[in-house]
Amino acid sequence: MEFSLHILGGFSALLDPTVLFYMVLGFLIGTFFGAVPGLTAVLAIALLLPITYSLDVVTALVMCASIFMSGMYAGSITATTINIPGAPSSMMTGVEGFPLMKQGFGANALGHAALGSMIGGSIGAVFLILFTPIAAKLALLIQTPGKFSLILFALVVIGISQRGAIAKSVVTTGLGVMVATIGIDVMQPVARFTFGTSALVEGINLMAVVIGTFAVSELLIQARDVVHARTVDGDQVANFAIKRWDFIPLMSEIREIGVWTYLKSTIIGFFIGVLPGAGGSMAAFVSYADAMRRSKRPELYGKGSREGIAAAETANNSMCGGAFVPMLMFGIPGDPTTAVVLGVLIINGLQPGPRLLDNQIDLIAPMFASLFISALILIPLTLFLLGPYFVRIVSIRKALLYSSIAVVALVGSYVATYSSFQMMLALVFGIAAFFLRTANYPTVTLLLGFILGPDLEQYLRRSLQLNKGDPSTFLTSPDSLFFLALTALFFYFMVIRPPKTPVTTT
Amino acid sequence: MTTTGGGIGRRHFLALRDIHMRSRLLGDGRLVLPAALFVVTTIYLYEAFQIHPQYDEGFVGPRFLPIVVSIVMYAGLGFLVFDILRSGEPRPERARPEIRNFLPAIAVVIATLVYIAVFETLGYVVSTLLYVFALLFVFKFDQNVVWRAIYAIIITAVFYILFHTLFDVRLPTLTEWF
Repeated sequence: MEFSLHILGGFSALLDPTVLFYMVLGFLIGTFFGAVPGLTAVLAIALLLPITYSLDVVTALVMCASIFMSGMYAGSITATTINIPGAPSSMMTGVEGFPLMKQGFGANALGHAALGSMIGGSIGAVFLILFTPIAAKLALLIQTPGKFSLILFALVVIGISQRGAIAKSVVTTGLGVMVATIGIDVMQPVARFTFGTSALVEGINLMAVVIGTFAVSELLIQARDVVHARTVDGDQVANFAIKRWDFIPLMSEIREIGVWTYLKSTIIGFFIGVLPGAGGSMAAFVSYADAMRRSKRPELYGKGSREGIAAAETANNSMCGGAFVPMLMFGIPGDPTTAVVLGVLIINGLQPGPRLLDNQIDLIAPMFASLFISALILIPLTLFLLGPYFVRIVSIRKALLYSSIAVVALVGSYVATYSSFQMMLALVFGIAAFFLRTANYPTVTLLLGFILGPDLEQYLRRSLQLNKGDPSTFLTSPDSLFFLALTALFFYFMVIRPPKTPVTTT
Repeated sequence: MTTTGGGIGRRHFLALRDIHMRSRLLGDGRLVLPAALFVVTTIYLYEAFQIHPQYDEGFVGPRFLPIVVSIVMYAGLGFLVFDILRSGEPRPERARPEIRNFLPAIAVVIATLVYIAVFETLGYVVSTLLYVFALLFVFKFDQNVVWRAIYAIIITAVFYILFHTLFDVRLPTLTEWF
């Protein structure tokens, strides 16, 4: 009952003009970053990270939630209109949306994408509100050896979910853990890997890793690939002319897609979101593949299936709610965006875990409300108001865009400690991530390894200390055994006997 | 066992082809990153052995996880190299990275290094103005120098207002030296 009151309080917090302003601003930023090819919601939140020092924590989290939701939806805009997914999670939407665009139903395809995102996002947020207290109760049952096995499970799943690049993701996860071990040891007052530099004794700041990995590396990649002056060609902008009322999907089309498709895609998306490292691409693809397998009209897939768009977009937006559950209750991000949101929590002194619901629910509830309102109201409203101008808005001069991103990223990293050392670290991580990305190494796993590494080490050593160095504690503790068995199960079904359907990497 | 002259010739040919193939694989750059990561891991492992715990924790201690991570890294890198060598054929010519393609990225790195070096000395306004002007050049901004300068001023001003005025961030200024 008390929890419900706090959630209602979260909704009322959005009525504060400042919070409301930042939620809408976040939504528009997320829409822009999600829609522009090359930019992502992760990058938007990474750039926001330094600003959270100056923002109130509620405002910052509300803004993050609206960026997350809109960024996930907005990828469908360029995927449908010009066949370039703004985000990887919109790849399946492009497969179905662009043929509809060519047939003259572009607005209708965007309408279905928005409707699916609205349903998936809002129900996903409701699931988040319902599941968080249950997850909190479960989290309280997990003891120290179990916590170690849970993090190990997360790291293994993160690694093996990068199908086709498992060895590369193992390397980047290891690299992330290596970076995390720089500085004072987690248990003893011993400095590690400082190479005699006092600046490294405090360890590597999360901000430098996030900004370097996501912002600076993107800057370098765009500099390398700069061919066109604008993000979207002028010819494509000229070809995009649609009326607002065409966005509204017909009832007959919605009936044909069916309530079950929306509901099932929501459930698939939410639970894929709960899995560490899986992300929106996997949610969209699994849901799309399932809808195609069970479709009454499978022949339409690849030629402009509205059902396919609905399944993919419902799932990837529902994933947003699911990804928050492990992040908030266990400190394990479900996807790259929540990994950066975790950074926002840490910077503001909030410790993920079951106690968060007892002690700081008033700070978290507005974020849940923002996720729900962004999906239910802002997605359709933005489409209706800005839809006809979407392609024009995202067609921006790259030089202006990336110069601005460079300034925000570097000055932002300076803000962390008011020292240019952080800027230098961001540049170093940016160069490293640039080479990794150029060779197709997943960099998200680097960030997750960096975030989860210290907890993994701490719980491992504490467990062994408490049990006089006896490693059998990980097998005799039921919660630990459960997560180790789960790890083995996932390893078996994802590596030894992988599913036959190809899965795209995030 | 007898070996014909032709057999020796064929084996010699295969061995030469194998060496040639591997040298081409090294040349096309795919092994450079694993090799660099191998060096980083080795330095990391060496440093891990230099850690001296303040008290005995038994089997695990401050150097335990770093050693385990190093082993995992070596295993991952081993698989990667094995995969590259097993794939046999080098990358097609067009897929190979060429140094001239990296020149704009190198220019961005140099501009950023200079920006970081002068940021606190010259202050936000002057250093950002020069940095943005340089980046507009690297990103092939299709306008003349006057417009570049105007946009550099606009971007610098917009983010000055954002950081300094809206978010109350204390930015370095040139005047604080006087």
